[in-house]
Amino acid sequence: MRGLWAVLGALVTSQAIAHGISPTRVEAPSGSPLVAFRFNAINNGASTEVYSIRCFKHDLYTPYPCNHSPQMLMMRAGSSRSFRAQIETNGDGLYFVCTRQEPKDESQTVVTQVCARVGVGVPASTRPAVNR
Amino acid sequence: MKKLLALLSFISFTAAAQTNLNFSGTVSTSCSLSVSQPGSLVISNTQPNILGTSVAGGTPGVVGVSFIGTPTITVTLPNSFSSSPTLSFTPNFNGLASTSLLGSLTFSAGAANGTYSTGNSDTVTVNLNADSGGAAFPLGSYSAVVTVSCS
Repeated sequence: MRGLWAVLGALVTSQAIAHGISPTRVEAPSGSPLVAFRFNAINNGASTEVYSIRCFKHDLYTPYPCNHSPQMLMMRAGSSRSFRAQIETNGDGLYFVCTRQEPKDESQTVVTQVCARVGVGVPASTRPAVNR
Repeated sequence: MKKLLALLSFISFTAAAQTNLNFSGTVSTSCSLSVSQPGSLVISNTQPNILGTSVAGGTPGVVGVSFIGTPTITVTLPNSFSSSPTLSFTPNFNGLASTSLLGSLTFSAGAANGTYSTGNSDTVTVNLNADSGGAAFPLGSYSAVVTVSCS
């Protein structure tokens, strides 16, 4: 089976802070042309948030195409919601599936993004590249 | 004798009713982020070519981090304003980022990162400045977004 489904196996301690993802480390065999995983987005904040889903490869600077469902996540305070992300890989390497908090207004200069590392033929513990 | 048999039967029944419940779980590297302070851009009175958070009156963006294990924090600067009046120049964005645990993060080509080795909570402070290169910033509203990522 080339495509790989991951169940929510990671145990993440509940934390009184806003934005998280689970699991954070998943792996697929070397040579997998297509990987698909199910993740859990977590909003432990005190207000409703909207998150977009983005994928990256190698580093967190240049988006990498992926299919995901749903397209956006609107989550109430203290809620979690699962979503599916599917990546057509371009060779082995470290991929990322991220949820990004969308700014509530134009005055917000900092947004948060939490990412799961998807190791295809490489350990998911591989660090993201620094180079842009 | 009957009492002995009854006792043995009870002991046997009790032993057969015992079972073990096994619990298992995995603790893996994880982190969660929240914006503690959104940050505000202000035009500099002394350097009108600088619009930023680190000039007088501006405020940096602050993000709280709660983590388990050894995640990596990445700060990515924007390439352009997400909204602004029409500009006759291309602004140059530069940033300053520091955390309580990692100290100053060094930017290279608009991005910086650092990996935790100890601790479980931190605060990331980010300053963003846009330099017009000498031209005046037109009147109007500006917004630019720095992304703080944890992976």
